[in-house]
Amino acid sequence: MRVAVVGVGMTKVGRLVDKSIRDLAAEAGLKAIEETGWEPPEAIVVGNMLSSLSEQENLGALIADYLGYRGVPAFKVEAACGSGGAAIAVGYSLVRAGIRRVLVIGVEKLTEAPTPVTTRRLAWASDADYELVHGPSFAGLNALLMRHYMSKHGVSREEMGSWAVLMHENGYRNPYAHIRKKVDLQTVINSPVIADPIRLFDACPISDGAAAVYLAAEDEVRRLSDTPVWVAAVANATDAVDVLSRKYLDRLEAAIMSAREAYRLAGVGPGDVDVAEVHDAYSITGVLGVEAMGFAEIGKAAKLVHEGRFAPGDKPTINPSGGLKSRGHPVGATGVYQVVEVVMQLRGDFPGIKVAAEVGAAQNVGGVGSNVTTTILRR
Amino acid sequence: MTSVQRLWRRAREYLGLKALKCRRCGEVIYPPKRACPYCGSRDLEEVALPRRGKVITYTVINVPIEGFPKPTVIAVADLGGAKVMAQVVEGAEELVEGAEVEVVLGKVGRTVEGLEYYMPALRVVSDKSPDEGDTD
Ligand SMILES: [Zn+2]
Repeated sequence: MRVAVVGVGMTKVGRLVDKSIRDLAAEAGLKAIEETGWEPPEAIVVGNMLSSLSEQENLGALIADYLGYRGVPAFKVEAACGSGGAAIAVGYSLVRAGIRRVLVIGVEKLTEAPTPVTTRRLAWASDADYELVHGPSFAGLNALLMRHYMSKHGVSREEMGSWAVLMHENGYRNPYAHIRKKVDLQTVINSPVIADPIRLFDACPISDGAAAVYLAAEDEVRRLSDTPVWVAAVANATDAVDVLSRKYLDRLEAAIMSAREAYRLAGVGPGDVDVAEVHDAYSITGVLGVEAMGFAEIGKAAKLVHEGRFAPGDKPTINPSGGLKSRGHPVGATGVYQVVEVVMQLRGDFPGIKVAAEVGAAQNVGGVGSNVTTTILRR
Repeated sequence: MTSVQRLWRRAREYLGLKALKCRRCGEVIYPPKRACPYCGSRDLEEVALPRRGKVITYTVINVPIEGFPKPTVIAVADLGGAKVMAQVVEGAEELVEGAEVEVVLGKVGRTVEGLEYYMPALRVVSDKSPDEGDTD
């Protein structure tokens, strides 16, 4: 049973003071449904990490009812910052299992609480008993990997800094992006240190947002869309939540496994991908993500970005949306944003930088690489 | 934030630097798991990690999470083949990759009840340290 995306929707990403979780979910979800000619879904899967910040759990029922689909099976999927990708994986599996129309919504409202509260909750993606008890922030955990990677592979501060420059260059043209501002390398490498060696411009912003993908079984696709995009593969893989029991600190094994399996299922390789959205919560995450996707050898991605690779016009073009750094990172929604962006690239209607593409990929990473979903899409 | 109950539950393990060793492949497993993540064996024995080792990587966190010091200095140290995370509470100014460290008891944070708590923490052993060797 082949599965296609027959509708997408997303909200602008940002600090959206006037919108709650249900408002965001409705804006993205109803847009995706509208694209199908208002076809009701048979199930709704919600990707979300921290709706507890809004004192709101039980998102499946809340959103199904609020959108006008009371009675429809609906539930939340959580995999930290990888919740959106995980929700796509579950939604895809539901369609493959015989539920013909599934709406996947990723939604996050991180600015509902004061920033210190949100920062503390984001660190809950780490191992509470063996990491968090010692006090690392989420940026701190990623900083441990960044220092190790730079020193092991002889990567300079300038080379790592080029990631943020490219992301802001791309995101500047994305009307949905949270931070639409070009930055130069000097600004990046001289920005305030958050968790040494991670600086402000190595980190993604704290964002609100929602994105939605309407998945349909093959025999429904022609009725619902003139521009379907086919899901060639969805593959999820896990690693230890703690970074301590991993063999290597200079790679994300779950991202490597997830990418390999996605390529195998789709019958393509890294060289076939025209456009990719990778998960750059921090510059180091983006670099490790590019390497996990097979677009660069381990230790080489930052150097290649610094040399001008992966920019618009290159194959693959990476993060034309601006990535997590510029588009933003509404954590449980991010994985769904990525799929929406790649779908729009393949349809040719992405409203920012356009990439002529036949094959696209989206990589969504939860925790410090502990729960990763890779999705491959084709026209 | 952790709690008195959560710290009490693992007090013996934390303070004794307990880890597991796989009887099949010989790897040290830390944090403990119910099977060896490297070979899958469930034939595991408890071991105590050595109290000296070397820093693999570290970070100085200027924007710490609530309940922890500013800055929070965190290192991952190799203790007898296990990678262990801990706060660096002494000698942080001499912290580099490869630095020798020893485990001391350090006041690391506050529990949800508002109590200060102690955990195994790291002291950077410098060449100038006069008291080298006064712990096992
Ligand atoms: Zn073993």
